[in-house]
Amino acid sequence: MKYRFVYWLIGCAFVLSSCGTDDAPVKDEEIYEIRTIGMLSTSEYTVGKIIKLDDKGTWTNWKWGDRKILMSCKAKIRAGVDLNKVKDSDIKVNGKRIEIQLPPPEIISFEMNPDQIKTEMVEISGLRTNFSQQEKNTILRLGEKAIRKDMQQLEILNDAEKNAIVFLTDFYKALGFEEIIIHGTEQDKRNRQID
Amino acid sequence: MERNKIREIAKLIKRLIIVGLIVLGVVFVYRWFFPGTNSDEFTIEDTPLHVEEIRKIIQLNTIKFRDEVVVDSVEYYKNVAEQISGNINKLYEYDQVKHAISHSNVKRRLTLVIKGELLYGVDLKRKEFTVTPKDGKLILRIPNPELLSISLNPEKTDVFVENGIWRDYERQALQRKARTKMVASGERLRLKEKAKKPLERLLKQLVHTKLPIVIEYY
Repeated sequence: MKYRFVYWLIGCAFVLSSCGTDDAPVKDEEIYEIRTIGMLSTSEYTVGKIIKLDDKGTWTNWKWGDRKILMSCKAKIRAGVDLNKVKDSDIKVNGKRIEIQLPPPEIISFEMNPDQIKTEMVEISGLRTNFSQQEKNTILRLGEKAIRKDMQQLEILNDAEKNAIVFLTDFYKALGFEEIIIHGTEQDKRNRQID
Repeated sequence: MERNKIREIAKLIKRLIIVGLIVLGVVFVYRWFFPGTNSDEFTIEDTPLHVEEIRKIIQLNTIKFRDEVVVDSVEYYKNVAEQISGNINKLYEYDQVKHAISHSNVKRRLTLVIKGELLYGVDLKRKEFTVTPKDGKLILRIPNPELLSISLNPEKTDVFVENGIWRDYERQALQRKARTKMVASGERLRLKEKAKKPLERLLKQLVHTKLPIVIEYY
């Protein structure tokens, strides 16, 4: 009986020790994708957001105490037009006159520089633990989602289209065209989905 | 007779209380050791978005490079005594208990898996771009392609292992390491050079001329 208990303890210790972290070094594996694109980026917005989270504890969910965090972050958003989408039929040339139908403007890149993310304030009370990096990353993901959603209210796509028209007008002027007509896309035909 | 009945009922109540306490204890111990992740339940408050800067740019992006890297930072215990006291300390933290019950001599470890997106192309706002007809040819002078944007966002960042307490600046250092790795991959794959071909194709598609086009990089 006594031995059975000792064996049981050894067994438990063995099982639990195998639950621990692996100390093997990380391998340098390469996973990448190279894609050829043809984007004309014409507008860049830098936006800032304060991410506020109030993680209230309750007795029923075994979280005794509250946690609060305030994080600030910045995002750089670039928009423009995909020139690869311009078909031959979209460009009409007649002597010194050129008429182009532009594809709809779209978001080209979204950058949230990790160096511009700051934890401004943390408050922990009761038996709660501090925010781990995993939890902070989850909170930042929610912040990123909120920025992407709010971005749709910005004028970035309109600005991108206007700037693309100005650039292409100058470009064709330099090529010797005298009459340049560039059509934009109607707002309702734009893709509001953000990459 | 009646006294016996009362005694039996009292005994039954006592036993029920003991069973209840044992069940409560087991639930408490389970919750203590396996707190689970409550991060999925987070809800952030709705705060306004501030536009800090609006800039007019002119960039022709011709290569999009998506890379995934693993970056890691590890610290080991110097001796067994430190390992034992370190593992005991980890028992006091909910999130660290699983790392405390371990034969491994890892004191702290943070492993991130990061997916990034790099854009290569030419910046025509910062550097001059000229179109000149010369000797029956159209000469386009454009700057050499360069790396124009690196996106490493929280959505594409995974904290794979977090053993021990890690500060923000330490996580940021790892993210900078990931960025450096991605830039190095881009250099090794000669993406600046590879950005030239689609750029030339794009310019030739845009320029409607009968003249032969010559593209010069500077």
